[in-house]
Amino acid sequence: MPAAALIRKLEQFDRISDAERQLLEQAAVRQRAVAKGEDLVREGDRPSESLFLITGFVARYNLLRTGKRQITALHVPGDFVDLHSFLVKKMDHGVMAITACTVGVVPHDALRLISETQPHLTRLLGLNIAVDAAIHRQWIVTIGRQSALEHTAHLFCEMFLRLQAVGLTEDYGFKFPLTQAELGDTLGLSTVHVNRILQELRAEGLITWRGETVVITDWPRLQQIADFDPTFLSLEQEPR
Amino acid sequence: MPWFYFDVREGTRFIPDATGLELESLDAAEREAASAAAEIGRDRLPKGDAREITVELMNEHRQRVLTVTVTMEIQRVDPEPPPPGA
Repeated sequence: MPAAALIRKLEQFDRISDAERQLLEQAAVRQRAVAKGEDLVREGDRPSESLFLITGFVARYNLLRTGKRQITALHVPGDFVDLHSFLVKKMDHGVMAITACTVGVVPHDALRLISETQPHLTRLLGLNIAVDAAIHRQWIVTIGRQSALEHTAHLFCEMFLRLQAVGLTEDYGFKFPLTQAELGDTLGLSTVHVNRILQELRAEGLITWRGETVVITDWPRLQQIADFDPTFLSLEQEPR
Repeated sequence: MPWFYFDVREGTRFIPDATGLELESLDAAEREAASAAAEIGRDRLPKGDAREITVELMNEHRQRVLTVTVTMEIQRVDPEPPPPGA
């Protein structure tokens, strides 16, 4: 059932009818395995299908001429990694697999059909893109105006709630399979600075990160330090 | 590729690097140390809890090979009183 992860994600926003469920199942025509490190989408591509994540972790990124990389979004199962490719056509960024992944494939023709016949589903897909934009806005705020410690704390708060919403947390623990260098490229920090911040978060009793597992050890204080308000994630189910 | 360790000193605080980092050369390690010192300085120095940030770069044998120091100095000055009638 490739569409299950996607349906679960859209259900965070609003109830999905049986007919809509069936349509999404038909729209997700197949699934595909992607190897760790592979690009799902390259900058400059003109995709004819959009991909959503069933398992694994992916990152949207831009590369500079100097070889420096900025990760601009992290995606977890249920997220569309490039729903916007249906509308923008030519990709202005790449999407790479942080881990081995399984993705569901939705042809743009199927999205066009939904947009022409399904106003409610179309609104939910629009909201999906709007939430991606809200997360980008939040990242601009944190990258521009917070200290490295606050910014890092904010990212861990966000990832915890997003993974919790799709049932991928266990108590206050979750899988976070990034390397410190990838986390640096996400936060816009050097690897050495990231390492120092992680040590500080651990020393302050806020989080631990061993192997690929992050455990939040003081959720209220982590949110307080991060000045975290989950509104931008639109995690309330309500009529849309 | 060689391993490097980056210990950080912020004022009286010492944050040792337990994990280290694999980098292609000493030059790459120097750039990493310099970026880290500048970033940590940007965060910590304006708060006034430290006036000096040092990143000490160690080789794989934990021998120090270079240090990068970033300092901030703030000087308040008493302006001359304005001339009468100004």
